[in-house]
Amino acid sequence: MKLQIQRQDGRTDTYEVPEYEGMTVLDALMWIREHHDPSLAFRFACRCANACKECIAVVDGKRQYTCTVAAVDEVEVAPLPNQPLLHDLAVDH
Amino acid sequence: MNRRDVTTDVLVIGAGAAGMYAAAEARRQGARVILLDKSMVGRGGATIMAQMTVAAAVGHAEDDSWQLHYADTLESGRGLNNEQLSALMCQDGPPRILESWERGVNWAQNGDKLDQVKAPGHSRKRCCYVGALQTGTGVVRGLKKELRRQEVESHDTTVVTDLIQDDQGAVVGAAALEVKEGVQVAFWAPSVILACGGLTELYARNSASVNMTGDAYALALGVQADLVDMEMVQFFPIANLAPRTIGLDPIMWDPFRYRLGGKLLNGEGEEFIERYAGVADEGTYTATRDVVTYGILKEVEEGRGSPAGGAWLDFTDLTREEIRDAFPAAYDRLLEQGIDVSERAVEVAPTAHYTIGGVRVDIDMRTNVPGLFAAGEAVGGQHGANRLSGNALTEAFVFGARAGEAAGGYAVKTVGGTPEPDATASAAMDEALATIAGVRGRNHDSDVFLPALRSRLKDIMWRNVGPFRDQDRLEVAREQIAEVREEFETRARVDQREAFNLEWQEWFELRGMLDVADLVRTAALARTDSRGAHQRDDFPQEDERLLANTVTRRTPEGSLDVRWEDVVTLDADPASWTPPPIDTDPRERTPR
Ligand SMILES: Cc1cc2nc3c(=O)[nH]c(=O)nc-3n(C[C@H](O)[C@H](O)[C@H](O)COP(=O)(O)OP(=O)(O)OC[C@H]3O[C@@H](n4cnc5c(N)ncnc54)[C@H](O)[C@@H]3O)c2cc1C
Ligand code: FES
Repeated sequence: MKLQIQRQDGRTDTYEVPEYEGMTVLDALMWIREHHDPSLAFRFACRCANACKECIAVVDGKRQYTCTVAAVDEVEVAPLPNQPLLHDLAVDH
Repeated sequence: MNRRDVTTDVLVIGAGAAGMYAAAEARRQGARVILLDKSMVGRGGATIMAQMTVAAAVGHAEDDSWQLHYADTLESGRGLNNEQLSALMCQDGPPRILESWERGVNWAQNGDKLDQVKAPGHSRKRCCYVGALQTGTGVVRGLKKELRRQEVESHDTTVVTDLIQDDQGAVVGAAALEVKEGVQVAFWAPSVILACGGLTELYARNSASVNMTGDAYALALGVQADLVDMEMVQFFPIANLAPRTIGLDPIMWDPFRYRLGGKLLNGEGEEFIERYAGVADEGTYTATRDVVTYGILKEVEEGRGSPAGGAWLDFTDLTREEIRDAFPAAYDRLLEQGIDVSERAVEVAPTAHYTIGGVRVDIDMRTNVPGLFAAGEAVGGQHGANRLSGNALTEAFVFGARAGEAAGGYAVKTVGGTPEPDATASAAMDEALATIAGVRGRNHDSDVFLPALRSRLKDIMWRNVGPFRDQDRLEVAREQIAEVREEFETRARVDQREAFNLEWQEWFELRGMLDVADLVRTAALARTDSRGAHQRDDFPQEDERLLANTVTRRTPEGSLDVRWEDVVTLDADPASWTPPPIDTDPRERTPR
């Protein structure tokens, strides 16, 4: 699948991420940190229980928890617009 | 260097249920309190993820007593419980549940009483819960109200890297990195409480959050605090394996089984738990967690696993309506993902779930190091060799409250404010903050990534120091952990930026995880029998001679020293036992 990430300073990075059944956008973001760019910043804690609510971002134009959205085909991720931006997708919320 | 100094009476590290409870109680002692979390307050740890129940003999659903709860807890612990801590947990659980109810935790009710249900290993209906799978969220919401009422100052996204000791060896502060802006913070406090939760993130398969990197144990090692039974890690038997679910708790099959029964089958479609538990499972779900974990992994090892390497969990004898009536939200969510559990079985497998061992404390939650307290999952001893379901949040409330009271009293009455740090402490703080500053940008053009190194370590732990252990695997782990450490020390990449630099934090997390991996491995090697959560293939029986606790401490030279200590007994009839009043005036400030 293809993940487009809005980075710092409005730059957009695109990554090809190998898919597996059940992979979420958060899984894809974590894969990118492990294999390509560990400097990529985003918030997350519980990873799949949807309990901590830290991973919220704008996914394909909608506010969603990245750990609940399936990573298939092409997905765009951007930080929440109305919160102080810390870095990349991480905001102070 | 971008440095800030902050002074308080009580510093609480970790804002789960234990830390939040501790902070509120320390405030009640008149202490100034700072509550820190490397993630977001109340959100980053295991507490918010707990979906099931909290055990306390409130006696609202049927006749119960804390002594019965205590007897169940000891039975599950297989002779290794610190009986004083177990008794404290069971005795003080009911008043804490009622108090938290008053303070704003919206426990499920039955009329004007609490609704209490039965959970595995408990002989009575004593497990409280919030809503439909809302226990953790309900607890956090309620405890946060209390923090606001007590005006507790909290700092999020702040990771503690080192504890600071004075000339006498007392802990007098902590060095931290505020990750949002990349500030090095010197926290000074005569009382410090470790409430950092467990170490499940050391394992490739785990049910808790990414933050459970075992920091409490690494910090304790750093100041020569004692750790008890670190070989005891609880593996939860039936975490979701396949098909992968999205947005659901990996261990939600537990309440499903508890309410609905269902069948646990091996790859050949046979019920197999009887072989290990000695009693048939028959949907009554009475076998304890360690037995089920062991059973599933043994079946897999002997070639009788499910396709993805676990066991089948089968509810297909039930109708769609029966399942939906019990779990409407979860059933519909599964259905949206194409999983109809009335039609198909799912695959489940063990996962690292909870840390049974931990920082060794006395009944006032004091460690052997003056000024240092601990609470919650970070503490060891109270569950012996196996934790009963529902006892973890009870422990977080009770031990959190006790630690807060003891630490508040110690800071206000014994020490009397925040003395100026002596030369030893100042120098140690300067050094710790300089290390933090020095890590930013370290090997920034290296291609050895911290998230990848961390995954490697987690695989090593899962394969060799996981639910099954033997001497060979533990020796392999020694070498492999050392290899990861070597790469970590020489080549791990850290980004250069200051703001929200995850690698900067992860460098300290992995430093601690490597130490804690060695710690668990060393204790697991020392315990040459199988008991509860600790299963040695080369020593499959319980050995009566090892009815004692492993206590590990880092020597001043840096090696790990394991000694055996007698189990702490109650030395009283539980019928008339009450916890001793908190000793807020322990005069000796020298290390014990
Ligand atoms: C999925 C799941 C379900 C569970 N269900 C139940 C249940 O139904 N009933 C039950 O009784 N128990 C349950 N448990 C266990 C229980 O949730 C935990 O044992 C308990 O919540 C631990 O509370 P705590 O306050 O000690 O730690 P946590 O809630 O884990 O909090 C520790 C906090 O410390 C922070 N921290 C760690 N290191 C540092 C550092 N260096 N600097 C700053 N902050 C730091 C972390 O970010 C975290 O927020 C469950 C656990 C899991 C994972
Ligand atoms: S990572 Fe916790 S809700 Fe998404």
